[in-house]
Amino acid sequence: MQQYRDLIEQCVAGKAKSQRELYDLLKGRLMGICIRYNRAPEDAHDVFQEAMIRLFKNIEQAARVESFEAWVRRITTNAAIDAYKKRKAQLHVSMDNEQVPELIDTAVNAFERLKAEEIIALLHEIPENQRIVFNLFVIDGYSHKEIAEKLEIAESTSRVLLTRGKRNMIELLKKTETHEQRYG
Amino acid sequence: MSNAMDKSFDNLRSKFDQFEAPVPEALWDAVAVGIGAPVHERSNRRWLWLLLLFLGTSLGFGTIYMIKSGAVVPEESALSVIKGKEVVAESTAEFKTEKVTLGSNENGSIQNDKSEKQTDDNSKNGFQAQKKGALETKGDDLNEHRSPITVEQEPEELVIMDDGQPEEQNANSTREKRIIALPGAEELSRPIANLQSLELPDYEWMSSPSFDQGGMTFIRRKKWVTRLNFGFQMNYSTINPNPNDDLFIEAKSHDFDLNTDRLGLTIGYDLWYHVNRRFWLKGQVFSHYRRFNIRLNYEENGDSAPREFRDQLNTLSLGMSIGVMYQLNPDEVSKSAFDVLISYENALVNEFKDTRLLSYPSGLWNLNLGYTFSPRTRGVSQWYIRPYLFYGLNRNFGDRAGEVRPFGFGFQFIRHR
Repeated sequence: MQQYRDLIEQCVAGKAKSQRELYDLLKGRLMGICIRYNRAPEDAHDVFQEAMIRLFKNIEQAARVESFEAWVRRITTNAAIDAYKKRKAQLHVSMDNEQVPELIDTAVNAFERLKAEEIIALLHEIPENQRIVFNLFVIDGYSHKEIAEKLEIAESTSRVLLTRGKRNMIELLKKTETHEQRYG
Repeated sequence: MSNAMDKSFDNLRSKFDQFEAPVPEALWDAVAVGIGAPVHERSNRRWLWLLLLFLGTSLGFGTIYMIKSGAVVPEESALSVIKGKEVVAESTAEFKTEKVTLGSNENGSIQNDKSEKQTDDNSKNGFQAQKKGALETKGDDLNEHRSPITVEQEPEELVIMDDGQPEEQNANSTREKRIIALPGAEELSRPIANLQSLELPDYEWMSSPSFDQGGMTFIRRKKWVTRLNFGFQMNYSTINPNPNDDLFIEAKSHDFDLNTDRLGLTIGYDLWYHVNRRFWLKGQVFSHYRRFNIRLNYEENGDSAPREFRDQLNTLSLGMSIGVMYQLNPDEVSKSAFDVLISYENALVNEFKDTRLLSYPSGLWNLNLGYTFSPRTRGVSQWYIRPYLFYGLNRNFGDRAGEVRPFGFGFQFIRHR
């Protein structure tokens, strides 16, 4: 963290070399978040760029936050959400009651065996609104209330989207498992 | 099972704690533009620009040199166009023309065959090719064609003709049908017209204000530049005795000591006008606070006991200067320049007036010579430093026994922007 502190102070002072150093330190982590939220690489790059610019333009705030990494994650997530909201003027979600299929043991094991890249590949297969809510809730730890505020939707909508996202992820996982069992 | 599912999703979260994805290098460019940082590393960009400048300069000056000095066409290469063939061309004018047959011998060397001279007043229509292929050149022998050929700008001077008007046959003539006719010697010797010298783009390296770690940028050179300056100076003086009075003065005040009681201050505002790549006109308004430590012995006529005068005298003046500045390295990041200024300053405070002995001009003319440079530290400095020498020019004894003529040196610090 001290490493960040020094760099942040120099970035606040406008030192270009430090800006580049901080960029290099953070870029991989930021891009990891961006590609979770965006299937198309171009969209991920746009969000990455926007997040980085926001980060440097608000770098004075970073000197005051308790956890710099959490602050960076929040900025990136917000950039991803804003980009998503621009693309989708309004979320239309049917509110049918849906059940999430239970995970069988093999599926649980399969989830645990998956690498982050493989999970992202699954995430890219589910609809975007479900992917956003799944990311926010499952991976980034936001509550339904926070998600509802961020996406400007009802909490219930957030729950439904999460349920569908989980269901689709499990279905995809099952397919993957079946494929692996069949073809090794 | 629900717990298992929740646990599974919790594990999912932990997988992404340290997850990183590859980032294309080009994204930094976009981010850098967004935050006003330099896109490329300083050194890379500097060398790239310097390389381009070098190549551009070399190409530009090389081209100018070639054109101005005349494109020297070596005999062999010029003749290689027609090597192995024999062509005849006819002069356009009423000069004596000389038929020259060019050919190659068996081992490829050029032969020059002066065979005939004739006067031609009839052909006014430009070069005409002879069917048989001997080349007639205008009024010169071949040796004269070894002299440099001046390239004409007008392309129409170069005529490519098909069959020419048949004239006398040359014994060595062949079936040559196409020749390239060059302008005659008279036309070739005309000066080059309408050719302007190439100039480097009106840009200069400057340090970038967005970062101070050695960043720089390549900006369009401004025509007018204003710059704040301040500095200090060491003031000395020569004291010239007035030959018209009865006091004998032996001055000691021009001793070169570096005491702070000679230290003066200056503050000013520069106005630079960019004349061309190397020259600037430089104007300055300033205020000088000068301190002089005057020591002298004097004796009045008939008085054998010398007396000592010792005092610290100060002046405060407002003035302006004008001059020229010659930039030594206009294309480099670290700038340096010589300048010569004439300045005039009007003394607002002149403590010499309180003395009975000495006069100090209330309107002082100075010659000021300086060398301005930007020091390189870690990066490019935001400041210029200008060490300078000054020397008072005017004489003003007035009714005093001695005239003080100031001189000295100083350092100015000039803000880049």
